[in-house]
Amino acid sequence: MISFKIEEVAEVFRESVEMLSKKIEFTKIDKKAVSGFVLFGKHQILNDEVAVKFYHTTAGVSPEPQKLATLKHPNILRVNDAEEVDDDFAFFVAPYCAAGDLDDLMCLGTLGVKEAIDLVAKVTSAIAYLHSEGFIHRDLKPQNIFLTEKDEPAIGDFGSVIVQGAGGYTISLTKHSLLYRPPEDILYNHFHQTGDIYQLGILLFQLLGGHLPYDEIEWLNSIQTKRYLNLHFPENQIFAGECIEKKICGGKLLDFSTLPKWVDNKVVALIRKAVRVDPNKRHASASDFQIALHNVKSKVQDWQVVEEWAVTRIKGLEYRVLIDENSRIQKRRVGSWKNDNTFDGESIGEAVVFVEGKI
Amino acid sequence: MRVCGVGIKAATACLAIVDFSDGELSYQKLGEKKLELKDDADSANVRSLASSIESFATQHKIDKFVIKQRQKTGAMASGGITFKIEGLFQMQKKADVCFVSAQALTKVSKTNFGAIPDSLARYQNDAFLAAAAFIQKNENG
Repeated sequence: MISFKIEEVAEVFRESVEMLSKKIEFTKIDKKAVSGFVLFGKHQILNDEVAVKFYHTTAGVSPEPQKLATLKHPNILRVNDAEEVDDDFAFFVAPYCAAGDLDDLMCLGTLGVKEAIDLVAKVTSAIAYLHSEGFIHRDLKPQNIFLTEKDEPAIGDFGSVIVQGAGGYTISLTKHSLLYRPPEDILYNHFHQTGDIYQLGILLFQLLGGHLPYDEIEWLNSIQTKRYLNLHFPENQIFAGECIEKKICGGKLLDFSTLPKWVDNKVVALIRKAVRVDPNKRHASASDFQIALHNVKSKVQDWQVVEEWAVTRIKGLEYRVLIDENSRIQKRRVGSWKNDNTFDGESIGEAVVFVEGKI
Repeated sequence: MRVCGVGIKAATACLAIVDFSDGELSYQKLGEKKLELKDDADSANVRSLASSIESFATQHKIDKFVIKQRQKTGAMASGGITFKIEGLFQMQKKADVCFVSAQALTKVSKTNFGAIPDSLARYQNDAFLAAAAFIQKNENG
């Protein structure tokens, strides 16, 4: 059954959609996906909510759709079914994740330091598995990582997955989300395994609270903004895209000063290495990156954001730092919070250093 | 055959990958050469280490982990965390695990087989020698 007009689906996919509708009761269509479109519905036999993604494929570069169904990893969304539509398109059926994606999670507030590292480490373990199977993902971003019923992150979009070429990279023929494209992809259309590590670095930056604007105009300086506003669509978008590409290729995409002050320099150094412009200077493999994440996690102080406070625990005492230009510190063992009047600084950075000095 | 030697001290496992083909040993450079278990009371941390070991074995296509044996009792006994780490290597399902004695490491270090490569970090010596000792023993039947 299809509860929307079949005419909303491009003609090339209609036969597949009608075939699938014998098993799946389709309820919704999302045409905004970058590399295809997604249908949502309920599997009538299994009684599961599912998502069906139709995506563009390239012969010899995209993996066989059926191969996707054989991928098995706790942090990769299980593919129930996958087939070719024709030479250019394929689809896969995967469980629908009601908890949403990592973008939804970030909307709920900044994650704790160790929680963010843990999430990225789990996604990295899935990428290490994908790489060992000879694939490169190419489109790791918060919108493509879903939260399962068990609150585990799972990679859930395979429309961008390609087979790794003999030279350790693949010529990238289709373009994905600009912000996450590594410099070598922009400059040479080359996508290496370390391109996925680059994207994992950006993901960690975002989960820790680093600012990565999704609105293109926010990337422009005042002169560029003036020019952008004088251009019409699509010239304005092309111009903004070129400005962002320059930032990416110059290694200036991430503004590390936007990371919260409690994010340790060791974590910042790890992200900097992951997003190096030269792919050979990044972590050599996904498992390398996962080990680095695991090792750094035990060396940094865990901070959680609770309302307007950053909270941490040291030697049985809880400390909280007001997230404000005029910061202050409170502490407690149990019960109510008391001001720590030994702190005579003002900024949140000073407050974090003061608290971590008690370790 | 690809062997990863493992030397475990305190809360750290040092790794060295050695390839063996046509009678030749070759050491493979690694980015991250250490795995740490600083907070073994934190279950999430233990699981994270287990997952890191599994990813390492998968991605580097390790055939065998060879762990340097440590004393379990007596004045020279190793710490409990080292055995916890050892257990995690044994739990992963991607590669076989076996052990070599400290004496086997000493023995191989006196042969050409155990010649330490220049690019090896000092703390990886035991890991490299563990792999070399296992390969030498297998070679000699």
